[in-house]
Amino acid sequence: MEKRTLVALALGLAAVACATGALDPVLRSTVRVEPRADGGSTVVLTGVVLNASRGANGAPAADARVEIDCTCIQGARAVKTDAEGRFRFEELPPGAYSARFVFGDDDRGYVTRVGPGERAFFLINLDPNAESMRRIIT
Amino acid sequence: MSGPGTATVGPLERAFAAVLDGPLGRAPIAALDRLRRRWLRALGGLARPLVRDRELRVAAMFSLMIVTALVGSLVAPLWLLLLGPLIWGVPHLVADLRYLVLETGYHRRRGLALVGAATLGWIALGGDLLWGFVGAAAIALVARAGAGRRLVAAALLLACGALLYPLGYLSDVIFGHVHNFVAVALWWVWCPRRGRLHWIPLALLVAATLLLLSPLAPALVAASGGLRWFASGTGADYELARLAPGVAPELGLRLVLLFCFAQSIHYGIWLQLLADDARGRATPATFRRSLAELRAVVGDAGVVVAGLLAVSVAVWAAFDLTAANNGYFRVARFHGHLEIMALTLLLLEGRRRATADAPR
Repeated sequence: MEKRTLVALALGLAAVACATGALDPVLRSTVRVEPRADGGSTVVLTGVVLNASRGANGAPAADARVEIDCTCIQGARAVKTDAEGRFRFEELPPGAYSARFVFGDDDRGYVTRVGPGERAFFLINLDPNAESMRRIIT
Repeated sequence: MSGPGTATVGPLERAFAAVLDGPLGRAPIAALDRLRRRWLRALGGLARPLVRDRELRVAAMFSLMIVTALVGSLVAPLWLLLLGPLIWGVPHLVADLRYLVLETGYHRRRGLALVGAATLGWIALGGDLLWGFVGAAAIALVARAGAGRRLVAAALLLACGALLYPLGYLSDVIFGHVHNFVAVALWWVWCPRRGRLHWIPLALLVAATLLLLSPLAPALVAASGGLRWFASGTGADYELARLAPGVAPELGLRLVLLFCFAQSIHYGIWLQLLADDARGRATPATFRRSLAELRAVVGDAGVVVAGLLAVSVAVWAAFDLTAANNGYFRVARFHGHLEIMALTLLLLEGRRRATADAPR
């Protein structure tokens, strides 16, 4: 096989791995938008932040900073996660929210649209020791 | 039969060559060349100077591109933002690798190849942008230039990294905006230009940028109704959150429109202008010839793999437009730093094409 054939195939595989986030466990964070179970008409942003660093094995990330912003609210709002890594913003208007998560040196941004009566649930993996693994995911 | 300059060694190479030489590879290229011939006939007397004079052709194409991208950004910005990367993204990454790495021969220089591959690989896997600047500074230090210039370039690159680093994830957003214009700088320094025609599109580009940053731009896009057309799950506020987080909505919208415009120009430069300037012959190539040249440089495997990636992104988009868009951007993250590294080398070591076309 030609050397450049090998290189092309390797680059192709690497591209697929990058696109799907297969090589980076931190990328397997998810945002799920669904109707609120309680039938409320406002928007709820909630979720859990986990510690994805080696050895932590996905333990809750306490005291991680979660900041949300939207053109639909007056200024950004921020909270800290509790001991279970949970956070919650309630009584929000519908809109496209940017959410920023900071835990140790890890700092990531997400964008998601949430409609009336919907809840966005973030499952976020952050590595507090990976100051060099920042990225924006929308 | 394989493409010019490619040696078919094993069965895999023969299979790739068969795909490109078969109806699947030939039919679309033949159709594009037929369209090209019709277009040239339709141009009538205008075609001859455009075909013969590269500088005129590049200036005309760039100007046309600027007008088209400006109109697109004011009429359907949200669709352009979403579809542009899905259609032109993969081909423009291939052009990046072709013109900046393979055709410059940088990949044959061990020091550059090692630093470049390690840095860009790390960035592609999610590494902090700071490391891209550190890698570019290292590239500057091993460039073939005077020690003083190398040190100044390395210091400037490290300063850029240091400025962006404290901004956290916002550095990605800012870098995304800036990198669109790096392609313009690369095109500018790619080869010496004896005429002054290139100043026309550059002046147009500045004018369009100022227009999009002015309060007139939101008024124009409101008048066109362009913000009312968007794919499910996106919208103006989505793009504001993605491309201008924390910025006041009115100014943020101007930044979104500018990004939309600059992104289109970025793709246009890689897929048309730089390709034209990089070609040895002054006359434009047919699509058939262009494919043959691409096969000679990146190999049949490179062309087929790139084609498969482009089709995969399109198929993904058919199921989930925003997920495909985000997936593409995860892959493309490295290329901004590749462009900065190449620009650094071009500025330090000299331009790509030694002589411009004959002066008029």
